[in-house]
Amino acid sequence: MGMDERLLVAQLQDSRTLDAAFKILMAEYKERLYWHIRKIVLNHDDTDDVLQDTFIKVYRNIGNFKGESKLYSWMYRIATNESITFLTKRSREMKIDNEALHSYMVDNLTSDVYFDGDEIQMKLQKAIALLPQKQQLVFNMRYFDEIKYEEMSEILDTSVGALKASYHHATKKIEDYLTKD
Amino acid sequence: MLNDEIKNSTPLLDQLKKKKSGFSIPEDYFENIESSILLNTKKSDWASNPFKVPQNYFEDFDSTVLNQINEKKSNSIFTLNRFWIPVSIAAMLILNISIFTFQKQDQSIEMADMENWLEDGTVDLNTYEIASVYEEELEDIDLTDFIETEEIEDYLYNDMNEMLYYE
Repeated sequence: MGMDERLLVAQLQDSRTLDAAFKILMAEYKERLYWHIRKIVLNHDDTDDVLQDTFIKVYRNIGNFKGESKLYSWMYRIATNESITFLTKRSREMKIDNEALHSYMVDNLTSDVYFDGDEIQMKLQKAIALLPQKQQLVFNMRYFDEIKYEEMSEILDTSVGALKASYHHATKKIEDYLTKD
Repeated sequence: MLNDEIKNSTPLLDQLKKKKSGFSIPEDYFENIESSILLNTKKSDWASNPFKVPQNYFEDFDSTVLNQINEKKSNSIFTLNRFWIPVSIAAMLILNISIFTFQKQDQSIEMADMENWLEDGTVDLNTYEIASVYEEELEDIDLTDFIETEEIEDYLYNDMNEMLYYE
């Protein structure tokens, strides 16, 4: 953890400076976390809910952060867990499995005012929806967010080798899907 | 490098990388999100419930309600009997009086005759008029006394018949 980050964490863990430090944290990371969540839950309104829940969780649990990983990795992990929890809850409410839910959500993109992708981009989202959940996460984080494998390993608690293999499989499946009629 | 990772094996994905994702957001979303989040972090401070309940209130609630329901049920049955039993007795007295008034000396009265009088209105069961004649007897009836249904039935079917046939 860099000096700046150590200082920020210290301020976040001091109740006298928590609020001011938290505003700095939000300003710094809200967009990155937003797009990470958005790739998972797809819909803007759902992303907004999950993002807010993520930051509230960060605010309430910053006292438990021990500095063993980077602050951003820790927050990213919280955002990932909140997104998965959200999807699990939604699939339970709709009485369908995660795969069916994701397909349903992708289909809704065609009428989503906050999705203006073309046909091929829509096809890409459909291809991602067909991947197992972990592969989806790895693909999104590597392909869209360009997160390094070492950092991804901290966030997903998976070895670098396994992540690379996962990404390789994901890209092959997607490419095959995109090239088929 | 990421681009080298997919450039050769997945050329379509490589091409797509240059494009935007297709996802967009409402105007000023990121400018406004912080205040919303801050408000929500404070929610627990002032949203906590200031109202308290007595100890074990919810644990005992079910049994309290059920006990009240059971109490009301037994009271209503008791009240019903307290009302109808004296009325039944008074009605029987009135019926007997009407029958004896109407009865000729040499004739015995059949049960069937009595039923006919009741049906065609020959017997006038004006309870208030008759009750005034038997004020003393009615005063003896204790409204708080509980009389078993069986006792009433016995009175109606056994004692009444004996009186009818007495001459």
